[in-house]
Amino acid sequence: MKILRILDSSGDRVIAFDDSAAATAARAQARALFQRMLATGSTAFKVNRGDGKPDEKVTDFTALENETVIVPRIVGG
Amino acid sequence: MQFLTWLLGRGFGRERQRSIPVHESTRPAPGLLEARAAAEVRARRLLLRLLDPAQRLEFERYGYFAVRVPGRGKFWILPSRVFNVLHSATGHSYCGTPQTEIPLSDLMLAQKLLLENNPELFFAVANHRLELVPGSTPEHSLPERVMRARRSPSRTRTRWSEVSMIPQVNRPR
Repeated sequence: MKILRILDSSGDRVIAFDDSAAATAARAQARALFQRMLATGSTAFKVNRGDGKPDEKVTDFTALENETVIVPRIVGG
Repeated sequence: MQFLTWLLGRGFGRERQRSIPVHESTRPAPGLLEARAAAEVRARRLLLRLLDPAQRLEFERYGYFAVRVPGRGKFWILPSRVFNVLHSATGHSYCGTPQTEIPLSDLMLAQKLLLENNPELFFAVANHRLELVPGSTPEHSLPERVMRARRSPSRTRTRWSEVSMIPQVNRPR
């Protein structure tokens, strides 16, 4: 199971999906959301990767691992 | 009765409504406060899970933590919404926040992820200002010093000419 976690005012919004045939709809929804968020300036990071692997920026939906955090577009404060 | 109807019709009722203190009408609804508190709890749990062990220890003990930025050195992420990324070497603080409103712990997590993995983006958009003169404070006490200064009430500026007891002969009028 893969998790897409989008930071928002509620803390975060979670979308879970996997590569099985049963999760086709959830995967399509996750892919559409991922692409839309990145197109509007958000940044995605692979986190919690296991085996001591560091977090990593990701731009390709097919490269997502167990858990991904999407940070909304940042601006100068 | 007719007089009362006339009085209300002339706007007496509206005046009564207007007399409600402003702070009461602008205070967030209790439900909103609870939702924000719940969001912060959720965000803090996520932050604690995604910090590395040293950062987690530091965050639990002091409320802030340090990140190493490739090619730039050490930065502190402070529990504040503005100018909360402090460069230990230069004393500059940076302000870069998500466009949408998120809980404070989510903000700190977002900044950690950006600084460690995509610092070019963060520094391209963040505003910065000099918070402390470099070398004026030992490095380990920088975050405490900044947070203490922000907590203390601001003082109004007073000109020396307004408090001096010495007559100023050449004072411009």
